[in-house]
Amino acid sequence: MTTAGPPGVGASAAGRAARGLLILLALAVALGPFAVLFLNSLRPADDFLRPGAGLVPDAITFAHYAEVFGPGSDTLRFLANSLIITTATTVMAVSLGALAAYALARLRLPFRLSLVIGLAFLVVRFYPKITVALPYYLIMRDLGWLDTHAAVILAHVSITVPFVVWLLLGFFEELPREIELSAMLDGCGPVRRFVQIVLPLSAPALGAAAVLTAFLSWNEFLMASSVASDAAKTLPVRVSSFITDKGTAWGPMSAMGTVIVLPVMLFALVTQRWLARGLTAGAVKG
Amino acid sequence: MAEVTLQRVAKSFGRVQALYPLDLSIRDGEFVALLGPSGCGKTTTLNLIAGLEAVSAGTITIGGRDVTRVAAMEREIAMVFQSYALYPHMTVARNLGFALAVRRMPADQIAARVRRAAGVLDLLPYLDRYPRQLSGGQRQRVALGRALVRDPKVFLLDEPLSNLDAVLRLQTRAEIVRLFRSLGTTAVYVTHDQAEAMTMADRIAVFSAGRLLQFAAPLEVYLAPANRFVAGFIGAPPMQFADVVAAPDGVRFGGMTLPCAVPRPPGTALVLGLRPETVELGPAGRGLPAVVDLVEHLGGLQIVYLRCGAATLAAQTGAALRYRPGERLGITVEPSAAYLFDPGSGATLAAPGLSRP
Repeated sequence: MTTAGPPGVGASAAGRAARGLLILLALAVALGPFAVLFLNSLRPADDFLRPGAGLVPDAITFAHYAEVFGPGSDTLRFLANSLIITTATTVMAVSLGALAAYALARLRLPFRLSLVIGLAFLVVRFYPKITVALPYYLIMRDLGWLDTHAAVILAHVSITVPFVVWLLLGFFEELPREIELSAMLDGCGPVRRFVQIVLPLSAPALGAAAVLTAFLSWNEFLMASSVASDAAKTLPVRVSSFITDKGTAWGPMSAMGTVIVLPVMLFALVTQRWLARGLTAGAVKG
Repeated sequence: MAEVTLQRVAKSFGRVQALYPLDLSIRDGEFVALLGPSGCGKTTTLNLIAGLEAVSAGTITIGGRDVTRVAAMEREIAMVFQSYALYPHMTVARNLGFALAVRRMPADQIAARVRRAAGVLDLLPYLDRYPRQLSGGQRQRVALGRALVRDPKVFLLDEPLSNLDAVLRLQTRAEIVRLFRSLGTTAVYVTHDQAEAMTMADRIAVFSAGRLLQFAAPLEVYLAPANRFVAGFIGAPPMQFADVVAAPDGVRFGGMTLPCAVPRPPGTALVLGLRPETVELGPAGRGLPAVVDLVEHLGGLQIVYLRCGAATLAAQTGAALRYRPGERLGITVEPSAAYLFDPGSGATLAAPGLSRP
């Protein structure tokens, strides 16, 4: 008779194989689209519409990258826009969000107002963004801010701040209050308490919030495309303009898509340990 | 060093009265324990003295200075928290010196003070470690040390031993007593452990349900408790109670009479309290008849729980004799050892400490 151990401990060969298969399947689902994108970016232009073309291109070319980054192309300008907007959004959203979350976590508001405000922040994330895209366009037009970095940054900050608040609210609530009381008795005012005690202790959570905010801003398409037509255009918006009424430029589009996705993947790989720690912080006391 | 005075201090959270108006006068250099079950108002009192909570009414003075409206950081007090509340991202040395650094003391003076405190508390080998690299006892000592380096007027300690295991707790208890005797600084110590309060404090303030019931020296609280609650809370094993009726020559219960002085007319309903260490066990037929219910062996001594009529009593005796559940015994009590309480108010009517001249 075999004893039924906990799953994963001393599992049979068949069980291990099944588990391996499941992981491979998950990997395929996660990485498959990127693999197709990457392979297409290397595919010669005439191979795209050839009947019977396989998933893997017959020949490899770097012509699309040359075209995307070549002389006379605007790609570097759009890359710079993306970097500026992502950086500014991350700094502003995390700073604002951290302050708001800390205040909500520490103020003793009556009628459970902290919870209500916290939930309101969450609700902001539920409705379709398209409902605000048009009014936002009109506001920016009237302000004369169309096609400026500020317009895109403001949109991105407003999208990401609620997310940052929600993430950090839980973290700050878990942060032992007595440590701050102790700092208070040690003579620290509110600012010093926040800077010297709370911030260093929240570094993992702030890091996680920053990384996720950066991803959101870097990838965001709808708001950026509605207010940025050229000078403040970001890479995701640029990608969409490869689809024209004269046809779709598959090769250059795939090349630029790879350029957008690659840094995100590398960044995620580098920060993943940190990210996991920040997202689960508070669940396990350190 | 300073005396601490609370005058008509009260605290309410919304409609909940956490602390009823309270007068407490702590002398300079005194070690006072605030004792009571959880939710009794002892920690609230400590937080009010610290300035972590604002009073709803009343006045607090420290060293003759009215600090009722003074911010916590300017009250010149140091507090040790139950959870220690060490700064996890700072080394032991920085934890100890942080308050001094905040007050802009020169670095060499900070280092000297930190080393002195670390020396007193056996922390010198750990100055470069982080709190997570320390044992529970070491963390507790860092928390104490953080208060020590401040050289405050008053130490406030909120159950500093409750996170330690039993052996370490006894050891640390003795160390803290020695430390504070040598410092001679006023200290207020919150605890729910009556043994800690009895052994450490110069005076004990017993709280229940937001009220101060008694504030006196440990033996006085023990021998002359202000009421039934204090009598039952102080002493281990605790005092046992029985409903009795006053008689001319003592108190009657279950057809038996326990001789003692009764300050009430015969026929009055009373509550009798007997401390286990004053109940003598003997052979059946001598004194009041009783049946052994349960025996707890504690090594050097044992506690025998007895049924005596409708009442449950307890006796604490040496470990030499063996008692079995169901065994019939006789119990005797010195008349002067009997406590009597008013059944309604719980007020003490007779107690060994009260009958003394």
